[in-house]
Amino acid sequence: MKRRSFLQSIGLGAAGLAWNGMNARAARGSISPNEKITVGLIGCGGQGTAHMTHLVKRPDVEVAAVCDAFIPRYEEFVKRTGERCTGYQDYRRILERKDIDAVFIVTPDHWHGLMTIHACEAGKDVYVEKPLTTTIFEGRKVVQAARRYGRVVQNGIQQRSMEVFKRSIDTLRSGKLGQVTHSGAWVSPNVGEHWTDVVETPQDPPAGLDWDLWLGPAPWVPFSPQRFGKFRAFDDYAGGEMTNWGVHLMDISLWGLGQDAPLSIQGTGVSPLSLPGDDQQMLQVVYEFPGSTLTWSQLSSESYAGKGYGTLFRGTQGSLYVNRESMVLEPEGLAPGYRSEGEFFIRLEEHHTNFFECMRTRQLPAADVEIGHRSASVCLLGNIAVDLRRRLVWDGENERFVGDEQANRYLYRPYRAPWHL
Amino acid sequence: MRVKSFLPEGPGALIRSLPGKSLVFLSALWFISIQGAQATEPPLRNLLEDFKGGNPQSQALARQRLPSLGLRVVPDMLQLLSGKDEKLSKAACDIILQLINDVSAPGREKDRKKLADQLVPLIAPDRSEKDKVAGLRLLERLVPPGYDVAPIAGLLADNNLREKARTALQRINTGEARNALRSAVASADPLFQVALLNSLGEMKDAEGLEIIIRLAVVGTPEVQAAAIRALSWTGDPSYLALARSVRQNATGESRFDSFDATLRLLEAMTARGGNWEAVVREYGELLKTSSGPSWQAVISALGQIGDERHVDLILGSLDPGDPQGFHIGLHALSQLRGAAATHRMVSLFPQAATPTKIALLPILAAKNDESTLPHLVAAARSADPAFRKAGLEGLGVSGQPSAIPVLEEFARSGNDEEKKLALRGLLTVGQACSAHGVRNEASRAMNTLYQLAQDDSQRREALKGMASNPSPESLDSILAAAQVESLRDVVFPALQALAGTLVAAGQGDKAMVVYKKILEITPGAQDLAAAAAGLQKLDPSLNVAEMVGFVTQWWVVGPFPLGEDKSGWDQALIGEPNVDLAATYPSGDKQAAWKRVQGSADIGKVDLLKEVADCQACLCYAYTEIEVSEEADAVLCLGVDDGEKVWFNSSLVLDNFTQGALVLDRDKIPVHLKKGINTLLLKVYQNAMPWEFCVRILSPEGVPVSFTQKKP
Amino acid sequence: MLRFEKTRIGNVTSEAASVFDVNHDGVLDIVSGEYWFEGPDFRKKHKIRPIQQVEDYYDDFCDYPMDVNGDGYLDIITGGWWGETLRWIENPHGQHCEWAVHDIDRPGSIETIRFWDVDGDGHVEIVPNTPGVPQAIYKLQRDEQGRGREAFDKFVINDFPSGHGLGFGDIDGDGRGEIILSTGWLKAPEETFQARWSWHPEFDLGCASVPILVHDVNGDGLADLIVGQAHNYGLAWYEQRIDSKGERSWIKHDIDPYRSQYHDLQLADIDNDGELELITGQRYRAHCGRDPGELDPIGLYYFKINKGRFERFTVDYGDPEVSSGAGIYFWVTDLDGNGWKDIVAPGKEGLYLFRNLGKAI
Repeated sequence: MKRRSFLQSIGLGAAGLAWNGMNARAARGSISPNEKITVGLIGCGGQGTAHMTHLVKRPDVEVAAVCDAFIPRYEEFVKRTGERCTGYQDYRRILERKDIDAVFIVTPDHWHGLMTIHACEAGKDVYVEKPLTTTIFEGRKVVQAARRYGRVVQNGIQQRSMEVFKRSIDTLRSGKLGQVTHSGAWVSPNVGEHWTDVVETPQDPPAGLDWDLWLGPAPWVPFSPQRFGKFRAFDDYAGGEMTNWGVHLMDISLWGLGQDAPLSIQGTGVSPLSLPGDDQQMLQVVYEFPGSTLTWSQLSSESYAGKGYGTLFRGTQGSLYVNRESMVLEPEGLAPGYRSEGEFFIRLEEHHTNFFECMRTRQLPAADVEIGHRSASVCLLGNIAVDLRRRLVWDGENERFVGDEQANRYLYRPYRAPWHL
Repeated sequence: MRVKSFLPEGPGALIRSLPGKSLVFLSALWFISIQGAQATEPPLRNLLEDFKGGNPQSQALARQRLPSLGLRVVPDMLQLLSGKDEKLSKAACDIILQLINDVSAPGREKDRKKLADQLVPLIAPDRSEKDKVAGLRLLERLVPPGYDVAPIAGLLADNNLREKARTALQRINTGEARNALRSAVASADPLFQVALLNSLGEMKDAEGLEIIIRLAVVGTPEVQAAAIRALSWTGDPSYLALARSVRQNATGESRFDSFDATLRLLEAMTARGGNWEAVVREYGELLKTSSGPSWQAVISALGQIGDERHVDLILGSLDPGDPQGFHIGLHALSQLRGAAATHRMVSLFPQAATPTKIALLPILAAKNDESTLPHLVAAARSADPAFRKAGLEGLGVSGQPSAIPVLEEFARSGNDEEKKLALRGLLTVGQACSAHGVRNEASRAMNTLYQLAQDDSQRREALKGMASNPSPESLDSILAAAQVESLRDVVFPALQALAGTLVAAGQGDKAMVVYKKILEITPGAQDLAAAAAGLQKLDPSLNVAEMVGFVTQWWVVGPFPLGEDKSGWDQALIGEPNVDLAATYPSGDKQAAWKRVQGSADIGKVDLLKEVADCQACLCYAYTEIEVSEEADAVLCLGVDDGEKVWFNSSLVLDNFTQGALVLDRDKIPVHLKKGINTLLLKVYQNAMPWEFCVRILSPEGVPVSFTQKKP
Repeated sequence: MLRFEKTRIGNVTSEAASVFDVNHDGVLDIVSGEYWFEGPDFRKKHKIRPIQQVEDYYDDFCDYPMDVNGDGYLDIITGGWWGETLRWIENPHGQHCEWAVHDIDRPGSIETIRFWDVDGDGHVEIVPNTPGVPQAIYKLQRDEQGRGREAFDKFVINDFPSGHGLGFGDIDGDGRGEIILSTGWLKAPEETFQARWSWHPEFDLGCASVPILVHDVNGDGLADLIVGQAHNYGLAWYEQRIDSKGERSWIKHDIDPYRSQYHDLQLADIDNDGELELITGQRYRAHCGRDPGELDPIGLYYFKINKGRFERFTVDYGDPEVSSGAGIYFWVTDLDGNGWKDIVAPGKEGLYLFRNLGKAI
């Protein structure tokens, strides 16, 4: 199911439900102020809405601050909470507040890494949305910063906390599939959303938008509503569908295969000729792992043997297909399948709980920043392989390409001053 | 074949040098090849037309195919790039980008240089800003080592473009690029100096260190901090003093940056190794002037690399009133490994504030060190319920044998919550002792757990523990457990293990009790065989097989061939169901006669390979008589490798032609024993490998039937 | 505070090492177990011989250089626990081939070997610690020029199993050295090897280190002992006292009771202050998981000794994945000629070189 339409269907669009958390307020009384975690949310867009909806229901959490570089957006959020939180344009004001324990970073991708680093430096624990970063070099720096400042950083690949995926991993580890030699992950991009081949119309930024701040470490370009409205279409801010769904789906592949870095990567991308002017990339990427392979497909149709998205594992004795909705095995009796209970498409509850618990115990959370980095890296490597159109050999330990010096330039993009890693 | 290769150099030259007849042939070839080339590769011109203004489909196809034509498309693309049509400009840029990606491959150095030469004009002084920006974006991926970057470096002086020039040079990261950045540092304004230093640091520029060090001394506070950050990757301890003085000079914003830079330097020093003393000393210094997040960062670092010296520091600074810092400090203490650190914590424990003590107890417990026991025990016995809970939980986690008596005490006489905690603790300690091979204590803990368990799940865990750590002391518990139906599956391994231990401890008589209990409660066939074997070994004078209802006295005759078509199975080879023990039968070229054999003493197994013949695809017969004093219903239980026919009192009651290893009680046949003598005739089929069988007779309730057999 | 530069050498995990110029190129090389590494950067390695592996041990607890056959090239004296054999490995004169192995004797399981000039003739003797059998000392036969003649004399100096632990030094101040075992010391007769040595069971040092160091710790003129517990927690010094009646007693003082597996101890002036420091570290997994403290972090340390007080300085410390202990026989020498003594630390955790860069901070 297309994510956007789903969001609309549960009424989380612009004219959404109020977040005055009446139920939560009643329950909050049972948690002592000392135990309550005070949170700031940065990025008041669609995914920010999803997080807020979950957070306001929790008795152990208080969202005290929201932030967006575009003032109308945070004003909307403040209104919906019934003025129960304060709105800011500059995220650094939130980081300065001593009462804020943790921040949720739900901005466009190009800000994920740096904001996480700044939050760590400011003594906050962090829940940062996927993908962790837009380049691999950055990702390693984010991990280093998290460790340097002793912070708990949870990456927003929430499938790691979902029951259906945990069970699929247990099933894989039980050996019932025999030796797992292949994983496949695929999605059909939101067809009809022309993410690339966008013609920009540069103009003055709208009132209330701090364009320089919005750009942050990305290269300076004049404002255009296309960039602001569809950040995913632009290389400077995101990595296409690969780092949107790819990171969720291939994270499960890595988890299931028990691997964290590929040995080699090859990829090809084409544009469907049937869609006029649509430079939507149909990608096929093959990753080589010790004893196994992983393939990533971006397809133009919604169905793939009836399954629009997901992760598949093939072993010597059977196969396992899992997505957020269910886990299915072939042959059927190989092991019990599983169907998610309740909401599954955007299920954040357990992942949030895991994060808040780890804030207390200081243990590594389910999608610890290192895991987030590794999974994002696999996606970023795929994009690089598609661009370079040749087989790339990867040294996972030193995080560099082997025998291909020029390719190493694709691992980072220096930040625009004054921002730095 | 490319058209290109047949131009000037081609057929003309060939024609001149070859005899006349070949001319026609060659011309034909040339003509065909051109046609062929046209069929597979539209000329550049056509693709360009499609690219610029064909229908969307051919446009898309042109975009896909143009890069394959290589660098000769560049001039046209450059034209479009600088043109008025935004869409085409972007598309052309993408084509060039793809070419850059392609020529970045190893082995294409010449093309890289060539393409760079073609693109550098984009950033010439007379070009528009749009072109320069596009040029930088393209060149930053392309410019190869050895290529002159002066055109880009020149832009470092352009206020509008210097940022893009800097990031481009950083991405290029060749010797020339680094040189250019280095050269720009000294004369730049402080703001740009910081940016340039960031570049040099991220590039790990070793040659720039001299310049960087200088700026760490003479720059503005912001520049100084950036300089320390730019050399932090070296992990060179000789920079510690410099970092310190920069911290001292720091003002406002640069205070944090200089602190952060020092942390990075220390991190790199730790990774390099060899300077542990210097690192921890510097962390200690930083701690003196840190608070809040900075303090937390240093404490975390000390938790990871520190030793017992840092316990005082961390413990002394724990403040329950600052929950975040409190948790971080506790976590740091939990990370300090080693007996020395644990002992220091143990000795400082009494001085800590109450909330700290309570939080420390689980941390001490997790050290799995005996020295923590006194504090855990004292806490468990405290009047304060919070302490008691923490102490009891800690005792369980500690995994220490000496915790067992205290846990037992609470398991017996504590309140409900304490009992629960203590039982859980006994399980944990028992498992820990088991894992460390401290068997007696493990057994004791598990034994007590069994006796005081509040539910079956605890009893099951206890029995599992007792099975792994059998001890004569657990005899009573295990025998008691044997009476409980629901625990059967975990009791048997425990009974087995216990029997073995009792034997080893020279308590054979107790072992027999255990074996008999095993046999008595009619376990699954596997356990039965093992128990019987164990008991038999213990007392060879016993005939266990008879005790358990196995038939041991047999006559056998054979071998007979199975026959290609299984005819041997279907035919009555000895006139069955009648049996004449005096008769002989043709078997190969011999005569086979009935032979008396005894089944094995443990489970009455008859090894037909030994007793009849070592053959494959063959058959034999086995006959016996069973005498009972009363008539009764019974169940014949057979285990056969491979298959059998069974006649009971001359009636065929089973025909199981199958292959497989001997599994006790595989075939169960309800029969009715008549008073006196009952006959049992088997026809046993052998496929290959083992050939054996055993039979026992049970009541319908599963109890061994009492019968006698004529002994030889 | 001293600065060290830490480098991991190859992938070897033998527990003994030494430093000498193997191939006569004027540059010191590092030798450990099956390989030697060419100085000055120790990247190129050469196989010496295959060595039996048992669990994660190698049957090689010593790699001491000695020119046994008098050809000017240093050979290796070695021995191990399972082979029970004292051997010398013949240097192939810089050729890149495996070295020839020669057995000297089969005394029984060898814990490690130390080398002291027991009889004061200017050459060291070979003194293995053989816990299960009596103490033997091996002397290389030499010609008039002092060159080795490929033959050894063996002298057994007591008649009971030696136990774990071995040292050499002048206990009673008579100018000659005594052999120290974990439960006492052996005094040589007038003619060192001509008769049984007298036994003085004056203490019980536990499962003692090799060596047990003899050193006047508190500067009172009486030799004290510095002992590590090789397979348990503890590092201590035993103060020698002589009362008015001339009775000797030994008083134990703890140096570091909470670190375990202090197997090798050495005295050297590591910081060029004219005083000897105690250099030691933990032998990682000394009994492959069966010793107390085997899960603790490991480290390499030096202790400055000041009138009976030991102040610890840590060269390296932490998780065995990335840190270095000291193995069963580490080596201290100025390897790079900068005037400061370096440390070569072998062990199951890896072979590490700590280049001493002197005081800089």
